[in-house]
Amino acid sequence: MTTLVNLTIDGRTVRAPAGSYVLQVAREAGIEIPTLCDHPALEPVGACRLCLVEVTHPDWKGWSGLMTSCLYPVEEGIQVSTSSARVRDARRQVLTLLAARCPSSAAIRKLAEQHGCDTTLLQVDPNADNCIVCGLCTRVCESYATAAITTVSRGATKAVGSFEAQPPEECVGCGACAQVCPTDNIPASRTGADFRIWQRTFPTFVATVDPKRCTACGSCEEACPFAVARVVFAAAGHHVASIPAEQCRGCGACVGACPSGAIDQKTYEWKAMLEPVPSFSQGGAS
Amino acid sequence: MHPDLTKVDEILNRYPRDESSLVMVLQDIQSQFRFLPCEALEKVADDLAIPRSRIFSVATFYKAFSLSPRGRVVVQVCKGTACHVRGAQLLEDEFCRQLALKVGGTSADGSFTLETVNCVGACAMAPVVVMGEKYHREVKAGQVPRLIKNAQKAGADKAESRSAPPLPEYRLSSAAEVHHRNRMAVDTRKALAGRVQVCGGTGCMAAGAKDVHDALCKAAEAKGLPFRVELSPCQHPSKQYLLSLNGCQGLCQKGPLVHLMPEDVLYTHVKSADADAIVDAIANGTRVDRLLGDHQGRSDDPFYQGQLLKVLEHCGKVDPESLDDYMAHGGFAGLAKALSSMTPEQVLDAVDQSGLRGRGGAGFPTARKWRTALKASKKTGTPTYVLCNGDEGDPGAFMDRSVAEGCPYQVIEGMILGAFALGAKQGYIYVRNEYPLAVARLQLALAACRKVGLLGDRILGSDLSFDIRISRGGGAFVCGESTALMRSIEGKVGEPRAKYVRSAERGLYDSPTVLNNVETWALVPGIVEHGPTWLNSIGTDRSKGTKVFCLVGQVQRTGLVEVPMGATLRHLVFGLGGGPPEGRKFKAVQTGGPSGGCIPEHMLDLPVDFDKLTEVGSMMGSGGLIVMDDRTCMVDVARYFVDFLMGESCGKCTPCRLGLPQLSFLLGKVTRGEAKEADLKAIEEIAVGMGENSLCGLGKSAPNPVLSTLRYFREEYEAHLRGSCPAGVCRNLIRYEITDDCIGCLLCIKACPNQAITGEKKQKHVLDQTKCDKCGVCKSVCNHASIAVLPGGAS
Repeated sequence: MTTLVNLTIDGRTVRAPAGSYVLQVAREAGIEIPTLCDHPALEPVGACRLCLVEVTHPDWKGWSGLMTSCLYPVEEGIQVSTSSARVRDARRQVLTLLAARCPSSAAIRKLAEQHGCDTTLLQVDPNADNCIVCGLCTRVCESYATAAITTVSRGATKAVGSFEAQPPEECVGCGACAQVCPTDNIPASRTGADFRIWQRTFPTFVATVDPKRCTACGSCEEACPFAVARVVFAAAGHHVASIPAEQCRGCGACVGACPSGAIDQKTYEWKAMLEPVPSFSQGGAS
Repeated sequence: MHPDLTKVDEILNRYPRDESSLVMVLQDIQSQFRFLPCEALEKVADDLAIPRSRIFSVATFYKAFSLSPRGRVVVQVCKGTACHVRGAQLLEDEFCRQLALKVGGTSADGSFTLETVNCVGACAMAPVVVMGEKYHREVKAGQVPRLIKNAQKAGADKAESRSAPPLPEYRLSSAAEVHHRNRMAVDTRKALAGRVQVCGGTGCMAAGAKDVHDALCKAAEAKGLPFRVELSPCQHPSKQYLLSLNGCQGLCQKGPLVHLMPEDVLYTHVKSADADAIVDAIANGTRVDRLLGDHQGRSDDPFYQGQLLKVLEHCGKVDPESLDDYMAHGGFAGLAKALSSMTPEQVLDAVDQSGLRGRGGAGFPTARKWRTALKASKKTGTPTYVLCNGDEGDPGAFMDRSVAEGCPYQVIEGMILGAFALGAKQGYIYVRNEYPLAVARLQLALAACRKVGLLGDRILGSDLSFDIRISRGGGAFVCGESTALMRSIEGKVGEPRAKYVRSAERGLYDSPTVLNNVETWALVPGIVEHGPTWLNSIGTDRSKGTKVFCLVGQVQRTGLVEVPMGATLRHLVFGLGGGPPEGRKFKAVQTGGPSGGCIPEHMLDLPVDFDKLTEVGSMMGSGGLIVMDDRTCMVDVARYFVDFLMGESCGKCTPCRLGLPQLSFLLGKVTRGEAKEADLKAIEEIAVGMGENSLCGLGKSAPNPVLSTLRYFREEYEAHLRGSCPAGVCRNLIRYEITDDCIGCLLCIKACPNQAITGEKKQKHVLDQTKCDKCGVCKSVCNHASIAVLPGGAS
């Protein structure tokens, strides 16, 4: 049986299961803490340092410290502040460094502006990419896909890459890495039916209609949740279902709905696969 | 060309087929092929069932690995702190120039690779260059061409090695047998006419101690003097001398050292050619006066007089490769006592009462850590791991290396006692990649212990079963951090984690883990054997016992010293070290490595213990003391540490990964005289932020050198804002000038890489400021001190 502990967050008393993390408890209580390296489907690592909160405990004789809320287990009696001057300073300091690192990231710029960051005296490379080495992409790949990408090197030169910097053989083109990236720094693109990521190309196998078998009954149009499938008047002079490849989300609803078996679909479209996993929250920006 | 994969198979067969072997497998592949071939990595991935990406991550994280072939001779310029303050930058520049390589580059014909390395732990002989496996001490820029030429001729130097001595033939199956063995070993040594102990510490080895040892052997043989290099207890060695190559004797500056016992004669700066004279003197009962220096032996040398040896009690006195010699010094008596007459709880109590605090730097009470692990182990039913941290990465520190190389059995005995107290079954010693001799000696000692029954099942007939494995680091300073070290042992990238759950409760493989430093473990046998007062009768209120320090940098007598806690910095720097050389003015002493700070002159009377150093913004660290005189620029030192850490940060968390490059950028502006007051504020803001916001101890303490120099030497920063470097170090803010003392010897003209100096023989030379790039080679080759450094940039 899980024991519950009492703590306060920003003065509000909260009850939470012992061992759960402050970040999670705060979010459930509707208290927002900005994060960049956190994802509900991944183990927390405490890398981005944006989620720092100030914690004190009745036994600590008045001492308080900055703690990593995504990793700090709640304890009976602790008092958490998510907006003290010290916490605001910490966020500003971290975001200042990030803003100097990737000046062209809209997401980082927005956060930095909100926190009053000033990068005037710092070294800023206007051509830098937007990787903040939060590790979300490599962790999602390792946890849910094929460990095709990894962090390479260390310190200031740490980056995301693949084995011997080659297009990763292991990559299955799921696109999860691009999906979770908070700064949209992983180039992933779709050209026609081809999905390109990590210098590799994956056919996306969208829904295709066999006009010979299509009876233009309109079932697909009804079933399509994205209003992509439509029955159109074809050049040949009769009605037929049309599912434009570049718009198809690959959910497969039409395949099941088609009574005449005219629609074929070999696999799903990349972003749709990730829908069951809660998408990355830009909560910090709010 | 495809690599020979059968070699990779051979390497894989040496280790258990799991992830924990990864770093060591990669090290062996690196030494086999001089780089990590792609095909070999793929094979390792298949065999150890690890994703290729993770192997690549490890291969690029640790500095010991290279993805492109290295040259036949790898030139490593040490960039440790002691080397830095003694001019390593000049050497680096000179090697770059002479080899026409950038750091990290390999020459087109594959003969040389030039690298810098963050401290090879030979700080007393700074600046140090390692070529192949050979150490060169106190290298000057002028010697670089010759070193390169010699290396080219000889090819890669092989490490000086002697064949491993045979393992002992006996078995110890009870405590009584240990005592018996102790007595026998003492008796045989009592019968000796004397002992001739050649110091085999890194410093002396770099100066040719092995040659001295061999020459003494040969000379003794030629003259019929009965020297023995090994001794077994059944021999009756009266009138014989025992010659051994021992661990570090401390006074590295004057090496190679040869110490004669029982007469206590300490010969300094010994060369192979002196062997005959030494042997003759021994035979005739006289001394070789010219090798004595100012003092006859340890007993009248101020360097040794002011010390109190506990950790180093045996170091330099025992043959580190002989179990018997350790037994002759009371070795394993503590273990025998514990196993025959103490409970694990009593051992823990003894450690507790001794007041022992971790010597790794933070000074956490050892017994408290042990009790936490013991409690966690009892609660979860998982046995505790016992770990020894020998990843001595602090530049300017070589205590752990000296202890591991000088008396490996003492460390092992301490760990076995720890295992007894904690009910541990498996231990690991994590040793830095840069310390191959320590690895070899520990391996030998472990093999001997297994052979005689001091490790393995039912040690000395008791219920204790325990063994130790060695885990070699891969060249990453951050792996000295406890959680990173544990990840590294598991074969992973050494990234620290938040320590809200302590490693004592959940550490290696998520089991309770006790990690102590080499020096800490080396103190445990003494505490158990002699009782807690052995330690707690010495030291200050809250820091008991002694502390080993490495006294290096700009100080007359460099070396390894041990003093009671509470000794003052003045005692260390001036009493033992003799103060700065050449009558220079003392400026600061840097303690605690990159996590520590610079302490100014007015604090020299500070008693050194864990708490006092923290109070003044530095820390004990592992014990490096780098003395700096008025030729050291404190801004340059701050930037040095920032650059050091920038190369060593693991890169996991934002403040450390991004803060250090910004600090380096801003401090660079200061050293170039381009900074304004606002830049100093920005430096402070980033430094304070890093200290507050970083994930691990490395990042949190990384700004200490910056903050402590800003605190105590702010006027030096301000001088830079005004365009002047008072110490004459920062190149943009100084100029070189040839003084009237110039005798016109042409040396500087030949050495200047930019042809900036002209002149005729026997006439004062002329320096063209427009061509001078302030490299300083001229000053380093000038024998007449006639090149002056003046503030204020080119005139």
